[in-house]
Amino acid sequence: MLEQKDKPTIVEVKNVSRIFNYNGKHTTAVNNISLRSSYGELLLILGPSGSGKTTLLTLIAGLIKPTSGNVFLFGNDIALYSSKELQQLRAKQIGFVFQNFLLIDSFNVEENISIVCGFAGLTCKQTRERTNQLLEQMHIEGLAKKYPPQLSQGEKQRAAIARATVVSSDLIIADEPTASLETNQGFEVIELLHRYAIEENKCVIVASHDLRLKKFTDKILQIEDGKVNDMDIE
Amino acid sequence: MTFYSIKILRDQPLRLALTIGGIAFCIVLMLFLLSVYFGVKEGSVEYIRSNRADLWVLQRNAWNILRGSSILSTSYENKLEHIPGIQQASPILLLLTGIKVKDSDVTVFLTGYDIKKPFGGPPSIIEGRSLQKDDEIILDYSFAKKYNYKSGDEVKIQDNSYTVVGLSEGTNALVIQYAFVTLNDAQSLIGFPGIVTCFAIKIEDENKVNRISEVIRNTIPGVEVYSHQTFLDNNIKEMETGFLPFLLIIAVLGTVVLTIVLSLLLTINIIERRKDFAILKVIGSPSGFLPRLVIGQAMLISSAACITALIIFFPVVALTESILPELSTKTSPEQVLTITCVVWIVSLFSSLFSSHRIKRIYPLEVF
Repeated sequence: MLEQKDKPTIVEVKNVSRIFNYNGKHTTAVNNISLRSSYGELLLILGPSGSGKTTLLTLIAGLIKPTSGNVFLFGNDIALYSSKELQQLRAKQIGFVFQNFLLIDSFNVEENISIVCGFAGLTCKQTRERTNQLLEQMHIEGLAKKYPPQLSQGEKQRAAIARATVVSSDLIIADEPTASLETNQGFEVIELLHRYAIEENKCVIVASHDLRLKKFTDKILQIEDGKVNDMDIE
Repeated sequence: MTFYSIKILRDQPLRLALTIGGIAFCIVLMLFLLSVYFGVKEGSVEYIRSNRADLWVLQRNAWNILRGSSILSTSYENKLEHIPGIQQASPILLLLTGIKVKDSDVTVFLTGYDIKKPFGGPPSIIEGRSLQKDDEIILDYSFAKKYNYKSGDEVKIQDNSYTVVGLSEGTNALVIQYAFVTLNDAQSLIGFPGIVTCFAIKIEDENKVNRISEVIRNTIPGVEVYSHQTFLDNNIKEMETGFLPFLLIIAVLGTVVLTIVLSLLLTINIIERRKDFAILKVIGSPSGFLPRLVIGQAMLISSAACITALIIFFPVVALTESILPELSTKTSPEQVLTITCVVWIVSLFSSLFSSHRIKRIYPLEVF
């Protein structure tokens, strides 16, 4: 298990396995994995395609339940959360960044960001303030009224990160956030996420197959075929 | 919520316009059928409603004049007027006959009445005057408009000529229109001067309706007596068991089509936006958010369609009535409100039906 120094833990995964059953065929996507991640750090889950990274992220986010083992978020076992509590947790404390950005094309950048504030229960004024703040921080204030199809890949990912961080989520889950970007844009994005973890004292968990991202991270968990292959703590 | 629903709808303006247009025409169809229904219903019985007799006397077993046969002797008029409490008995002869228009006969409901008596004439005359003598005729306004008749024109029934002296309203029963001549003329046409269809009775004291009815039944065997309201209800009932239910059935089918079309469109919309909905689920949308988004879309579409339908409806009715003058419609705010409510309920039902699909969208689909 990844050892924690003195920081309070946000995510703790204990001996978690997840088996999928397709037409009677069992596939173990995650096999007895344990990890811990805390405030102020970026955890990189490294592994090739099909290694179980995304499954592990969805287990951490409470989107699926483990076949065995426990996932603790903010000190509580997510198995004990109701679906409404999990929804509130995702709205208020967990931000998501996806490989293909997954902005909603019908909404402009500002609306894509502010919709999350509504889910988290922010008032209109707070929503406006936070959205404007994030647009500035991400240097996309000029794109506020633009729609996702009008943006470059890098701009889309910045908007996606703004959406993930707009309610100051304590935990950011990023699934292959650099995969659709050019190298430099990818590095910029991972630097942004790293800065968010350090400067805002939040926890960021990134799943990627890109070994070059190692240099930006505090902790690395390498997995292959659903099992931990290597652990590294800086 | 409405804001996001609008944003999603605006994403595909052509589809939105087609959807609103399609639903608007569905609403126009329903409104139109309802207007025709009430127009015919009113037009068919307006003649009876406006002739506010206290009692109606018909041959036994005849309970309406729209589709009932009643033959009474004119001699009953004298007998009726000798019954204490009866002020006047107005004889009315109704017959189906044809007015010659070019080379063919157009059937009318020819009503012969005694011009010296209070009942039997047209509900209202909107052009010209009432009958003053034999060989004059009053035509229904829509009939006259359709066949280009005006006051002063001559019309031929069988081999007799009549001068059009007036045009009446409230005498259009869609499939047939009323025309009015003197009782003498009507009896001459039928060839039996001694018969009438019914008598409209005016009594001295309205509180004695039941007693006088009983006296009539005892005095003149073989007749039936109805109060004005009962006779009116009988005729309305007769219309309602005729072709009117078909109009209602078509209106109901329109509602069913509307429900199916709306459900289909909303379901397609959900399927197309499956990924967006999955994203919203992942980023923490509350459980009611997505169904409300779909309901919001349905309500916006139906509201826009209702407004569009109202804008289209009245010109459509005016155009249709100018092409088909015999088409009688009656539109009231209640009808418009009813259809609007029905459309909103249908929209709500359709969106709830479609919203079930949202449950089958899994957050994992976005990873």
